[in-house]
Amino acid sequence: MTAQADDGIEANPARSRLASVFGLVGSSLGAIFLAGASVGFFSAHDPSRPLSTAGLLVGMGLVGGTVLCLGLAVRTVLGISRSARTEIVAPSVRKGRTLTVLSALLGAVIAVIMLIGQSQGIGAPPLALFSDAPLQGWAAIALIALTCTALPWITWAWHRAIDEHELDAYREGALYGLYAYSLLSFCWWLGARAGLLPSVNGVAVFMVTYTVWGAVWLWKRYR
Amino acid sequence: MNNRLKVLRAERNWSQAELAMRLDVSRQAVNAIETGKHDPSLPLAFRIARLFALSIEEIFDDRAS
Repeated sequence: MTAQADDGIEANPARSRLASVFGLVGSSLGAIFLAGASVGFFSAHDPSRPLSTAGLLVGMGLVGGTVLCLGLAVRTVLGISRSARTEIVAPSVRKGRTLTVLSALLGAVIAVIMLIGQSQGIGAPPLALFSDAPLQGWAAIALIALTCTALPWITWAWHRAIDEHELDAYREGALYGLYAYSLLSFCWWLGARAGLLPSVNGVAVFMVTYTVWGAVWLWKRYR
Repeated sequence: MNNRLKVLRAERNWSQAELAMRLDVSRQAVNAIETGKHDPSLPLAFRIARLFALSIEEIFDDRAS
C-alpha cells in the first residue's frame, strides 16, 4: 500500500460512505413513510366501490415508491458492506462501526414498534410518528425497555471503542446541541407565555437538539 | 500545531489508513492530525513518536511557522 497523495488529504472513502449513510437513512425513512401512506390509502378506500383511475395511479405510485426506496436501501447497505470489507481499519474502529450499525438497527426497530403501536394503527399519517399522538401501552413499555437496556449498553461499548478525534467531535456536537436546546426551549417558552407561540412541543425541541448535535458531530469528524 | 506526520508517513510509503491501523485510530483522525485540524492527546503523541522512533518534539512543533 502506498501513500496516495501529496496534498495531505487522500481520496476520502469516509465522505462517500457518509453520503451513503445519508442515502440509507433517507431511503429507509422514505420506505417507512410511503409504506404507512400506502396502507393508509388502501385501508381508507371503500372496498365495495371500484378504485378510480386517479386513485389507482396514486396507490400504484405509493407502492412503487415504497419498493423503490426499499431497493435503494438494500443497494446502499450492500455497497457499504462491500467497501467496508476491503478497507484497512484498526480493530477498535471496526468495533465502533459495528456498534454504529447496531444502534442504527435499534433505531429501525424502535421506528417499527412506534409505527405499529400508534393508536391509529399502521395506517396513520407518516408524520404521526413524530407527533404526541397516543401510543398503545405495550408499545410504550417495549420502547422504554429497549431504550433503557440496549441503548446504554451500545453507547457504553461505543464510547470505549472510538478514538479521541471522534470523541472530540461528539463532545463538541453535544455542546452545540445543548446551546440549541437552551435557546430554543427558553425562547419558545417565553413566546408561549406571551401568547405569541403555541405551547412548547417537547418532540420538536428534542428533534432540533439532536439534529444540531448530529450535524456538528459529523461535520467535525468528516470535514 | 505544525507536524511532520505526513512527511514521515510518506517516507515509509504508508497510506493514511495504514498509519491509522498502526496507531489504532481512524483514518479520519490521522487526516485531521496531518492537516492540523486536531491536536493529538499526549498518549497518542507518544504512540506516534514511538512508532517513528523519534521524540515528540521532532514530530510536533507548537511554534507558528
